Amino acid sequence: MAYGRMGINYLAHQQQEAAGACFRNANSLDPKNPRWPYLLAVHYEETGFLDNSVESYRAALQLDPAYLPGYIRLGRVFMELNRFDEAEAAFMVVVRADENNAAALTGLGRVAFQRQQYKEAINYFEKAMSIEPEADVLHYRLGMAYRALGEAERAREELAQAGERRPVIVDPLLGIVHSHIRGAQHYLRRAAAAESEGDLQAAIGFYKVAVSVAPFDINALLRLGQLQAFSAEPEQALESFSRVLGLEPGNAIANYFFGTLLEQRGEDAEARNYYERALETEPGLLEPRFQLANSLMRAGEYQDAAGNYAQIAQSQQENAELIYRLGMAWLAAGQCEDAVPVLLAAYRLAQRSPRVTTAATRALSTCSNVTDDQKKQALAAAQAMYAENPAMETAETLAMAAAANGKYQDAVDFQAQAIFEGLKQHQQSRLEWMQNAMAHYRNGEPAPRPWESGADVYQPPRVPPLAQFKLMEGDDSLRKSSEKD
Amino acid sequence: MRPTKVVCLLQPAVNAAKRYCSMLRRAVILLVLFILSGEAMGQIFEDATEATGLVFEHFNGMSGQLYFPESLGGGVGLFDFDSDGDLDVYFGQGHMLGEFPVSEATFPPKYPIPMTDRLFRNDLETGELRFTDVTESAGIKAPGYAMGVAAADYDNDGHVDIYVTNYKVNQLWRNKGDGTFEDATTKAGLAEPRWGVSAAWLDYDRDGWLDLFVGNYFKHSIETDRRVCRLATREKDYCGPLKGAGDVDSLFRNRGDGTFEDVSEIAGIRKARGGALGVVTADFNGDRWPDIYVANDGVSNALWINNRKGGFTNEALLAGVAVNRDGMAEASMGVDAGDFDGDGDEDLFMTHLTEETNTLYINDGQGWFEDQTVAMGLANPSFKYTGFGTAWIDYDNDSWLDLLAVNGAVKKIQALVESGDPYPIHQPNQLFRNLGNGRYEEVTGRAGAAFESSLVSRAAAFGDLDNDGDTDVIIGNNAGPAQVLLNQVGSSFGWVGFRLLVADGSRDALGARVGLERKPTLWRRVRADGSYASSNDTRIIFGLGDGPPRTIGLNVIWPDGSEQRIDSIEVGRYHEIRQE
Repeated sequence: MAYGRMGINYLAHQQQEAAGACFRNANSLDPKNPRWPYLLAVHYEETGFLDNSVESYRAALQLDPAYLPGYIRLGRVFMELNRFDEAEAAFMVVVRADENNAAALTGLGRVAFQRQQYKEAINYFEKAMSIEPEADVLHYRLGMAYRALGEAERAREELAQAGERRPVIVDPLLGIVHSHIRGAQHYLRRAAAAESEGDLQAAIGFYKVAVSVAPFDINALLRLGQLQAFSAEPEQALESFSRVLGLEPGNAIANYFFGTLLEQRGEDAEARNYYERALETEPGLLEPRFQLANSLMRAGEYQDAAGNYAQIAQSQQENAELIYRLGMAWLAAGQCEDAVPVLLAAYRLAQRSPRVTTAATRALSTCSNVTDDQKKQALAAAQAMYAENPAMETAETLAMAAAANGKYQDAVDFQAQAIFEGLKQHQQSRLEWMQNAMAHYRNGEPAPRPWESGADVYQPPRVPPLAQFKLMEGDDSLRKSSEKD
Repeated sequence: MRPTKVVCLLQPAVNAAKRYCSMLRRAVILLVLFILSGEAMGQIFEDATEATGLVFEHFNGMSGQLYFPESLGGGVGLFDFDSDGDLDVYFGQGHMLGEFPVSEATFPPKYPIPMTDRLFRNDLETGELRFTDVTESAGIKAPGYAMGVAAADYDNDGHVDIYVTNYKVNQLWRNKGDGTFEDATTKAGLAEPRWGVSAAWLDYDRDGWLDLFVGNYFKHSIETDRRVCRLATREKDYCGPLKGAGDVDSLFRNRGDGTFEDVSEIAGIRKARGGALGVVTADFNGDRWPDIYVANDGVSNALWINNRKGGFTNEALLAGVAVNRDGMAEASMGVDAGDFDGDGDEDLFMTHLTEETNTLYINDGQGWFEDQTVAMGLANPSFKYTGFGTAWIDYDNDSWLDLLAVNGAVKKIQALVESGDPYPIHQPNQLFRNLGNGRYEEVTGRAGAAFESSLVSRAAAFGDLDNDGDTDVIIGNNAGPAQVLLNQVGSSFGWVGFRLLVADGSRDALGARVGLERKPTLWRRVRADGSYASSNDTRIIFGLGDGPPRTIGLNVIWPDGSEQRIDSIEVGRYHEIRQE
């Protein structure tokens, strides 16, 4: 039914291509409802696909043989196709049921005219005229019939009265379509209402109609794109954002969302281009810069990543995730002296986060600008983490902290534990790094770095499908870096 | 890859040479057809625009204001202005509208400001179909906002003159016979200020001097037309004609002394108000007097039947050509008359707006017509296009008149709007083949690469540009490049061509009819009018199909109603026939 309703809206606004697609879908999903083949037939008729129109009218009339307006329309299409016998049969169905149907009588008159049965045609036209005198096009038909009979003066008299009003077809189904001729604002309101009720599919449908009526409504297109992304329709969302970018190439929101959708598809480099375009328009936007920095981290461009994190960190000093990412970027870039205070700040914001605690502990255990007290704190934190969860990662961190405090034998023991856990977990790729650290400990040296180059911790995850995010509200859905988190 | 065209450029002096040329041409075409792929075999017209050097870019001055007149211009005229036996080309040009500077034009002009119409000389005598822009040397300074072109020798001095319809005042260019023109508008009394589009020369009073009918469109001023029209989607769109503002047409009688008298009122022409876009003159009721058919935009068309006393009566309604078969007035644009069904009378075909279908009216011989568009197979293919220039041409020289229609919408096309198209009204053109059984089939798919392109086509002028015995086309595209389409198939079949001259040989016998003795007799008429805003080759080509006879006879009905029979005309070449 949703397809059908949308089709009606499209047909009402002469969006024929979309209307046809909707009615075809509606017809296949709701095959016993005569409304869909009927409206599909109207669509075909209005777009000149007369043979298809005949098929659809027939299908509709099979489902509802009593729907008389359908026979009149079918008959008219047959007339357009010069299939007069079939047209006559269709018109006759109506006249048998309603002998005063002016539209059907006119149709029969046209059939008679084409068969050169002009007197019979005149009879039909005159009867139709007596029933519906305001249908002044009948004067034209009468004029032509009298002309054919050689009655030129009578023909002139009729032609002089001719107009363009055709006999009315009372057609409730088409009346539904006409009642849907409304402006874009109507559909935007309905979309917003559907959204607030949580019916996102209905909202998407209304936004689609709205943007078909007003294809340049950028806000509606943006909202449609977001809803599509949120509803796990990434390709449709890309299309919506693409339309925005066609209208306004620098639109920051569209560029950002386009980038996130590409990122979800694994197209990181292309995604970065879109984040950068968004930032060209609005350099202060938070989300595009954060995603850009994350993407640069994944690409190994740690210094650039750190620069981008740092730009937004100024105004987001309470954002633990951002501060953590900035610290990790510095660590990855080999700038321990910058990383330590940042990771300690992150730790203050998220003390219960093992990820942040691990990072801070390892930074304090491996960087040079660290006091002995800090190293002791690191050891205490590492011991606590290990006690709570004796695993490869915590054992390795504890080994690192022990070595930083000169306890190399402890470091060797915990590192051996870490390697053992790594072997159990088939972490072959990490073994070389862990054995290298072990060699340092055996030689009475601290760990050289908190993690090996390119370690997974330096790879922020890709932006998840928007369905996992809270849907952003309103049109201005991206935050500026001056706004507090 | 396209088929090679073998062109016999000039009329061979020796018949044997001509026959050899024809044989060679056919042999090469058959060879090429054999070799080439199926797709290439389908090329009916070759786009020779670049090869011929006919580089013209129409400028409509659009600046985003969507002024009503800007989508309608693009007139083309084909005529032999230097009397060297080949067709030269005149293009109408536009300019900025309103107070907007040229820097605000959506599409920058390709010519220096102020722009003028342009005249190109055909240098076929050099052995190659090439055109040279001679606008300046010919003295053409026509800066009006041009719509259409009507060419004919109005002063009977043997040189073809040019009447240009403009959005404002029209212009008459008198050909001085030395390769230059002079502006004779004021002297001739033809400074028609109405918005003219299509015009036609005809000797309606049979006095031996060509009179002028000007189809005027609407009373309009961009200064006062403040309407803002929109698509259903609220996108700003071009407005259509104002209801009830259709202008009256004009008829000017040639006094024979270089001046004209406005006889529009006394001839009865002003009794109808229309919105003329297309005009064609012919003897529609078989009384040997020229009548006038006017294709109006959105209102009933007019059929002015000549009363032989200097006046006309509009018989369109009773004749069945005012409205379509459902009694509805249509937005008629281009029009042509021709004997498409071989029954000896002039039928009518006209192009229409999207969702209206083009319309074909069959003449019963007495001037009463029937809309048989559906039966002829022409309704459905035109449903989605807005047609403008059109003509009945026998492109394949099989004796049956085919149809070419050039298209371009007048309202924005939603899909093109959404794709960001800067001028979203372009549509592809169409070609229809007369099957000889009363029906047409669309052959656009094999008409040639030019038919795959989509432009805002308006005028289409038809004529034999390379004198090889078939009909070529020049298409005038609004805000776009003109196109030269050379016929690749017609000259491989039998043909014979004629130029009919009045008794003193000074000019073309416009309105003369020629009946070629075939079964059925093939009737063609001498004309320059028809199509949309165009002036066509006045010569007649009869296609004779396969195995044509070596000689053939013909009957001529001259514009004064007299008849002349001519026997043993040699086929495969052009002939000049002078009224005896």
